[in-house]
Amino acid sequence: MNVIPDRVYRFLQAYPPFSMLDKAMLEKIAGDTVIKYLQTGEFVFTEGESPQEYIYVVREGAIELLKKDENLLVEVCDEGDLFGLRPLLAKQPYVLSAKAAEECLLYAIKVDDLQELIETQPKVGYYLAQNFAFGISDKYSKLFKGKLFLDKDPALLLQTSLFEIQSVNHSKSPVCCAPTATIQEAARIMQQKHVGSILITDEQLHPIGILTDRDLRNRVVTGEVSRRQPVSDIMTHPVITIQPDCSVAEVQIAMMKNGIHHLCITQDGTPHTPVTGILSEHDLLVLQGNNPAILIREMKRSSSAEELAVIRTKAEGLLQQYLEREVAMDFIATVMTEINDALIIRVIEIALEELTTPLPQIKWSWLGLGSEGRGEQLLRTDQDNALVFEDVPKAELENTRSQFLAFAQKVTYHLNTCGFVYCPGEMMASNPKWCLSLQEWKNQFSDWILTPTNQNIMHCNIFFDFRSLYGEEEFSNQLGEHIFDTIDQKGIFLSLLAKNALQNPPPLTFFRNFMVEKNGEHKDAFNIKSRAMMPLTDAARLLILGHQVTGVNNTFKRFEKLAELEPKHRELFEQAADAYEILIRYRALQGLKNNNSGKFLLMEEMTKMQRLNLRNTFRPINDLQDIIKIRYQVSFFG
Amino acid sequence: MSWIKKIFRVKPKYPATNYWQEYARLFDQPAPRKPLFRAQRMVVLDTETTGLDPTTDKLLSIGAIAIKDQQIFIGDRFEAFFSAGDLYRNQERESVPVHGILQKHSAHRPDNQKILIDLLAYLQDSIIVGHHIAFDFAMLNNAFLLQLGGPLQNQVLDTAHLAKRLTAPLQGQLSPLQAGQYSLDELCKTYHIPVEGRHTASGDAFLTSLLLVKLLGRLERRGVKTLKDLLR
Repeated sequence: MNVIPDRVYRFLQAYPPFSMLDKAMLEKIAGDTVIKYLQTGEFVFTEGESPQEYIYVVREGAIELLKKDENLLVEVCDEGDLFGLRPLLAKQPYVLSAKAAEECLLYAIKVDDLQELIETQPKVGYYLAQNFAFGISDKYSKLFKGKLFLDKDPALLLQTSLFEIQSVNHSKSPVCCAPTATIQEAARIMQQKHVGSILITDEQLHPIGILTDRDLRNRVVTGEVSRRQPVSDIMTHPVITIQPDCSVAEVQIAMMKNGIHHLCITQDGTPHTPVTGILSEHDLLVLQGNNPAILIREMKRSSSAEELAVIRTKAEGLLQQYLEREVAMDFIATVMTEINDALIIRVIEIALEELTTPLPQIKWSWLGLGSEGRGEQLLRTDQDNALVFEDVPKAELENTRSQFLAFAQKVTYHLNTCGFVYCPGEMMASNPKWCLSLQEWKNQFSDWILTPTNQNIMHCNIFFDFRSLYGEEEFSNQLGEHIFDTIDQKGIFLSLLAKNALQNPPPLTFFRNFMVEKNGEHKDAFNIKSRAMMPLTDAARLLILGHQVTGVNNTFKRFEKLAELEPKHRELFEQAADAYEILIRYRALQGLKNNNSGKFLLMEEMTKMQRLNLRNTFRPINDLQDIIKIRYQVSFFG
Repeated sequence: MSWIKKIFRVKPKYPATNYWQEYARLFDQPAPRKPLFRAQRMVVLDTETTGLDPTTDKLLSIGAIAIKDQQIFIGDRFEAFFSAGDLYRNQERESVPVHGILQKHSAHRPDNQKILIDLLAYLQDSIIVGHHIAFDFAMLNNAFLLQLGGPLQNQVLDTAHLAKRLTAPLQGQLSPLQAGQYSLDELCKTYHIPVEGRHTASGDAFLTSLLLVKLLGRLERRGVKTLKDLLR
């Protein structure tokens, strides 16, 4: 391609809906584009004007969309935004005026070219309808949530596969049923055989359709269809089939091309021979060497923190693959938590072996706090931990504590070696303040709850997300109960916690720009942790505490639980869970890319698509904060 | 004063070929009295050559794109690679007389002629714009004279000159250091034009076209509206 249309092509490629087009289509559009220059104050079109033959994408600058004789600012479009779609929808005059807020370059795209696309590419039509025809106020577009990383070149993903041409092992005997079986019967078979999908076959075992967990979740559990209906009503068909001697690369391509997660293997690769096996995306991941079970086994066998550090780095490769393949966050978080837990347990065991004088013969427990406590620590960030030991007679208390402190110092030292660096705020079990007996911990929590100063509320936010990682699990249950009892005594506490949770408003400015850091080392970077994730984490913690639920620490699981507990707000909580998943994913990718905590995002490094998606994740924050304001009557506290 | 120019302008003599006659006819048409530059098609172009001497060096490639009314038309572009170009690159150019080369590679001449004929039809009577365009124009003009037997008569506009007009009130008084500020790279930086695809003729022509609309936008705000103001 000539370099000139190529420049346009590469720009458009990053933005929906152009990102959904195949190469030839987008090349045609790029080759036909007109670049329009506008000075500040110039109009592209005005309200009431008849439609032009172009729609516009902002290449550079900003366009204001105005209504009612330019008195009402409806929207500001910046780089990559699409506007002026009226001619596409109807041959009617523009309902808004478009004015250059600064010097602008626009890509003008022929309506005729797009019209054709809308007819042939349902995805494009759907996207435009979702985002424009029904106004920008269409919140939480389901179709595009979680697709933050679509702009990755699929070819690149393939190259990173470890065993690209390795033949796929599909020895699994396939689980099948007849099309006349009811949904309930099929689900029962799946449950009995512990499989996530079932093939529907005819009498000769030729595949007709497939039913997966996802179908059950999406269509049956939601009540859309009855479980007494035959499976043929909801199965996906036809089934994509592949021959038995396929390679991993072929399987991946077939899955990617068809946008599916399961492939059916038949004798000759067509649907006209008997089924011999079934392959899921998950099978592929397991095939690709970096198997979490193997990593955990290696951790259990390692004898030093240095070895553990090496294995933990391997796990990062696994994480990268998961993130790139958009594996469900629930699964990723579970796997990474298992790996982190295995590492901490092994570190504790190593530290125990190193002790010259063994620990006192009493019960104790190692607690993970913060993101580790919530089971959502994907990257190696600062360690936050604490230790609780059984109550001992007062005379022995200090001696006992010093023994545990010496032990905790070893553990935190080894964790530091493994890449979980020391907490700058000393929120560690090696700090005498956080190495306490059970009774001391109870007193400490009482103190925080009954005297809720700002500092104490901050401590609550960190320490309330505790989780027992080693030793006596019962202690964490007791501490949880104690917290609820104390909160009950101090009715005002949750309101103060609520006020704290509202400290971080949604991170957008009036013009829908990201709130970036005003000064300091990270000037102009966006702090995804404190600005986007913390408001959600804090809201989830507060609301779940309000329901007196223990044992659910994970932020997105908390939201899922809340959706269950409060059907009235179900949609919002589900959106919040989705938003948090996207954020955690994004932060992890950022962290892996820059080899840091991923806390700060540089706006200019992000594509428009990423910015758009990130911006969408902020939407539930506002609604959540409104609920909190009303529920805890925060305004009374000034 | 344009009527004086018209009277005294010596009309070039063109061969009787269709393409030249058609080209010449465009310039005979009466122009509107005070043409606005927005109404005028401009062709922004860049060439790659074997060297920097228009009398001995050869064209290797040309890239061009058209603008009108502050719009860049991606669909209205021209790109060509001259077929004998590669052969000149490695030769000791001084020692070989120009015509000698042309005769030696006469087999390639029809190709290059075809390119130039197409280019002539593409250029029409548009204003030719480029960064330090004088050199590219001289190269092109020589090629047209040598291969097609006639000169170009398009008006020419230099983006480097426009940039200077905007920032340096006293022309012709630039130190070498200041002159460096008017390189295409530096100007792209100044006007926030992301630089990629440089050093291909088309890539540079495209960058120059972006620079041009931005410069014209600024000049327009200072009251430059007509072609005359612009070509001053």
